Parts: sequence; structure tokens; C-alpha cells
Amino acid sequence: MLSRILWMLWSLLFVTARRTQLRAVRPESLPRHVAVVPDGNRRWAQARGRLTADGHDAGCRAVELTVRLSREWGIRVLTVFVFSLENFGRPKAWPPLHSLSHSPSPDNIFTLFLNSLNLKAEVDYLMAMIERLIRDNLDEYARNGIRLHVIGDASRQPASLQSTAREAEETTRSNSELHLILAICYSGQWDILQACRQLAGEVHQGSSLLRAEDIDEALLAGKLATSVVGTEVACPDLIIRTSGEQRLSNFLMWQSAYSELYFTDTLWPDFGEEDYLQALSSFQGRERRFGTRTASEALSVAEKAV
Amino acid sequence: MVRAASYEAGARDSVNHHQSTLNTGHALQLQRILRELPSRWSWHVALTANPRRPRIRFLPPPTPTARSSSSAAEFLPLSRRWLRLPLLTPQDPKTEKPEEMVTTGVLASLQNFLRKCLIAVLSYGPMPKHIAFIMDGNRRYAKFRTIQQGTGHRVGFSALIASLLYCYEMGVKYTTVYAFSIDNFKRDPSEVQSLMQLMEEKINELLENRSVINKLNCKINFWGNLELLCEPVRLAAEKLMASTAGNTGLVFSVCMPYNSTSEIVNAVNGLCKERREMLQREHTGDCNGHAANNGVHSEISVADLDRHMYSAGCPDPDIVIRTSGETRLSNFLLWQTTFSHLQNPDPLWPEFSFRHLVWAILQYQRAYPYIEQYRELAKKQL
Repeated sequence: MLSRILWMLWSLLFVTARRTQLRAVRPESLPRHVAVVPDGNRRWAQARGRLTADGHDAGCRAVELTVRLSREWGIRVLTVFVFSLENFGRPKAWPPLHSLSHSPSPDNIFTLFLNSLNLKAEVDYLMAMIERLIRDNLDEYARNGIRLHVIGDASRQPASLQSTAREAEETTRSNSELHLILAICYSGQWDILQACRQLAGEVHQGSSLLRAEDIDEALLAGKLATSVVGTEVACPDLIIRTSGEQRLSNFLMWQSAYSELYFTDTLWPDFGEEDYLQALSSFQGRERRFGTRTASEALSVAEKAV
Repeated sequence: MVRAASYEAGARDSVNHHQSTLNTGHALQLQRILRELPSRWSWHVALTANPRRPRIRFLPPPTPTARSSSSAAEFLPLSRRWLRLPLLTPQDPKTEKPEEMVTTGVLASLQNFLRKCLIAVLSYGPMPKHIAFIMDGNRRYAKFRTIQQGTGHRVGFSALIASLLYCYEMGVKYTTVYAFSIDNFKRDPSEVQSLMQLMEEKINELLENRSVINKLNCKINFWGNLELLCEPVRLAAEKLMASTAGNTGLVFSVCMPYNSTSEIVNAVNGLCKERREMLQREHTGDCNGHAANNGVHSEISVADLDRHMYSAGCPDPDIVIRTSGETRLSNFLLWQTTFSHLQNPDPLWPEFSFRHLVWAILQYQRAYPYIEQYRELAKKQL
């Protein structure tokens, strides 16, 4: 009886805390471009003694939730780092030292065995899963005004994924409420390299059109993969990285020059509305100066530039 | 414009002085506390810069004699009062009492011994080879100590030298600091001018007193677009680079004025020019230049761009420390920090001391196995 009363009091407290948190995020100063590094699917699965595939599926659902929330709250661009070029050769041995707190408790020994199998199988599964994610949600995106872009090294993506992505981009071309960028087989260094190769090609072919000395930041930024959404919102305002890793890992290298970074210990499948709100309120509490003395000075400099 | 506080004043004056800077609900509480303290104890109370976690810190009472605001020695935090080298802050030796110097000597040697023990313990784990610092918080330090902004930057410089010496003791061979960004030119011209004067003064001091450099066998690099600097600073920087180019010990890189995006554009420019010259030489060499043209662009690799970066020859940073709790990179070493451990300690840059550095290295050692695995794999992929 007493425990029931205590439980009711606790949930009441929790609900009021949530409400105050929801009120704390100001809708007028939300970031225009949010980038997410969804890390921790495998650790989540291991902590629950399930297959890694289940972890990735749960991660998919978290991605869908994040897309829906971003659209509801009026964020213009959402970039999700679905698959990195470095993920092609992920380590077999797991877990790393510092995540020993997430100790695995498998249902049976076969789960452990299956989890340590061939990496290529996992990569293939991931690619099929991403394709399924795009296909299943295409109708929803087309209805809700979400425009899909897929960026990354097309030569490393399987052919079926490439065709699905192109179809999805065609279908959602006219939407403009939320730009969803899926970074598949993407890496920041690759992005800069491909921009560099394009510019080098232009310098060589049309020697009268472009000289090497004319290459400047704006020109290079225009050749990057994220410029599909336009140069104004190409750079993320907020980058969220889950599962406690404090690194950038080659994600949006050029574009993250002035982004606010938010690191959280939550694993990606557990990333929900509360965590997203926390990230946004943390973003709103920061003073972005862009090299000047105060935020107001930064705004005035930006206005003068425009 | 913030005036320097006069140190003969008692608590009431410091309260009045702080009134302009503290206008939150905490101010009334603080005023009450300060009025109750005896007037001979002029405790200076300040709020930290971080709005997310405001804390009240009691600073030590200042020395009773009034000194000019240009000497930074009395604004150093307690942990760094030992750093009164004549190189950095001119000081009148007559004001030191003999017994003070004896006690300082005993305490200093004990501190040295403890520090060496701690470094020996740390060395059992993996030690970083390259640490990068983003020195954020000098102006906030000056504001909350109610001193001039230029002095805040000077105290920041002493913190820099201290950190450099600690890194040398720990065996960290490469140190990089973000001294001045190209975006900082948009600031108030007087502040930019004072920063340039400070840099010129310190570079010239280093050029004249070679003792510190020779002791560390230090090679100093200046990374950045040096053409944007004014003439005397640029010449002094180039002279210092040339004179220390042959040293083989500690490598100290100062990024000024630096932007990572302009570094990448610079590297792309250099690469395009190099390719063009290579192609022209091949074209004059044989007549099959047309075939060579098409294949050359796909051959551009990460290693090619690495060669043209300012940091060619230096390994990537293992740790990037940005003080004052801000979590951004602000266009610093974007290309090179792919696998660096990013840390954002709360203390402002002038407060960054040995214990913060030890804690930073401990956190790095905790995350080291994971980062190393990914670093090895990434090298195979790209």
C-alpha cells in the first residue's frame, strides 16, 4: 500500500519535471540543422543479451522517432550518420574496456556466438536494413513534407540501395518542410577529397575558367555533399553523439566548424523525446560567438556580411 | 570599461565595485556576506563564467600594497604563484621577505617531488604524444577578477608556459595551441591591437632570452595564414621559426591566425598547383599528356592533402582540451582531430593547472583502447 503511494508520488514528480523541461525549450531559438551520430546499438543489444541485429532494429526505430520529432518541432534539416566508411572494417572483439559496466548477460551461449560472427554479414544486414527503412517510411515522408537526401560514397553502396535512394529522392523532391539527410558510406575526409577532386578536374579542364589560386572556402563548401540543402543550412548547429563517445569520428568535418557538440551517455536505441529535449535545451543555453566577443556582436557581424 | 580594483579598499568598496558586474539574485546574498566580514579581510567573491553551473568562489585576499594593473603577477591563481620568472612578469625582488623565500623553496621542492611521483604513476598507462589546447576564457577571467582585459590575456600566457613545462615533464612531445583565429579579427580593433602587441612582446622576449627554448630544446612553429598579421609580428614570428627550426626536442605549434577551413583550402590550392606543374612537366616530356590528364584526379588521396597541411610532419592530436566548458571546435584542426579525444573542462584557461592536465590524461587513458582500435581500422579503409 505504502509502496503504491510512493510510486504514485514519484510518477507525479516525474511528470511535473517533464512538463517543466518541455516548457524550458524555447521554440523561437531552435537549431536549424541538427546532426546525429547514432552510436551504441551493439552495446545496447549486448547489455540486454540479444543479437546485434535486434540492436540495429531498435536503432532504426529511434531514427524514425527522431525524424518525426524533428518535423513536429520545426527543425529545418536533420542529418543522420547511418553508416560510416570506417564501419566496413569494424573490430570483431567486443566490448571495449570502458564499457564493462554494460556487462553482457546473454540469453544463451548461441547469442554470444552469433554476435561474434563474420563482419561482412553484419554489414550486409545493415545495408538491407537501411533500404527497408527508406522503403517503409517513404509514404510517410511523402505525406508529411519530408525531403530525403542520401549522401555518401555511391561506389561502396550496394546497387539496390542506390536505386532505392534515387527513387526516394525523386518521390520526395517537392517537399520542403524537413530535409532529412542520410549519410550512408560517408566520411568527412571522403567528402573533402571528392570536392578537391572535382575542383582539381575543373582547374585542369577549363584552365581559363578556374585557376588554382581562385579556389576559396565558398567554392569548396559548394562542392561538398551537404550543399544539396543549400549553403545557408548546410552546416549543423548542433551535433548529438550518443553512447558517451567524445569524438567526432570523421563526421561532417568541414561543416562542424562552428557546431555545438552535445555528448550523452544514453545508448542510441534509448534516445527518446526527453534526451532530445535535453540536447536542445543545452544548445539554447550556450552562447555562440563565432570568434567575436559576444553573441550580439556575432549577429551584427553576420548581418553586415549579408 | 572595467577599472582595476584598488587594493587598499575594504570589503565595502569591493562590494560597490562588484555591483556593476553582478546583477543577479546572487548579488544581494553576496553583498550581505561581504558586509558581515571584517573590513580588514577583503575577500573577493566571484561567480564562475559557466552559466550552467554558477558557483561562488572565494579568491585569496590581494596583497596590501597597491600595484599597477600592468603587472600580472598578483592576478595569478595560487597554484601558479611560483611562476614568477623574470621572463614572464617583471617583479621587484626587494618586496620578497627572506623567510617567505625559504618556505617557498621547501614547499616548491616538495611540490616538485610530488609532481614527479604523479607523472611516474601516470606513465604506466598510455601517454598522449600530442595535446592541443583551445585557450578559451581569458576575457571572462579578467571580467570576473575586475581587471583589464589585456591583463587577462597576459595571465593566460603564463598559464600557457606552465602547461608547456608540465607537458615537457610528462613526455608529451607535441603541443599545439589555438592562439588567434582569423575570425578574431572581427573583434574590437583595440583588443586585436593589444593581442598583437602581447604576441610581439612575448615573441621578442623568447628571441632575446633563449634559456627557456634551449632548456626544452624546443622547436616553435607558427601555423596559419601569416600574411594576415601586421609586419612586425610576422617578421618576429618568422625569425623565431627560423632560429628554432633545427631543434629536436619539444615541438610547440602556435596557431595564429588560423582557421581550419582556410588551412584545407590552402592545402587544396597547393595540391592543384603541384598537380598542374607535374602535368606540365609530363606533357613537355612526352606527347601522351592527354591520357595522363584523366587519371590524375582520382589519384588524389588523404596522404596528398596531409602533405600540404600546415601540420605536415606532426602526428594528429591525441587530446583536444577546450577550457571554460564550451563544447565546440571553432574551426580548429578539423582535419587532424578525427580520432582525438575531445575534452571540455570547466575551469577558464588562466585557471588551468597541473591537476586539470592530470585529469585530462586520465580520461584519455580510459578511452585509449577504443580510440586506438578505430584509428587502426580507419587507416586501412581510406
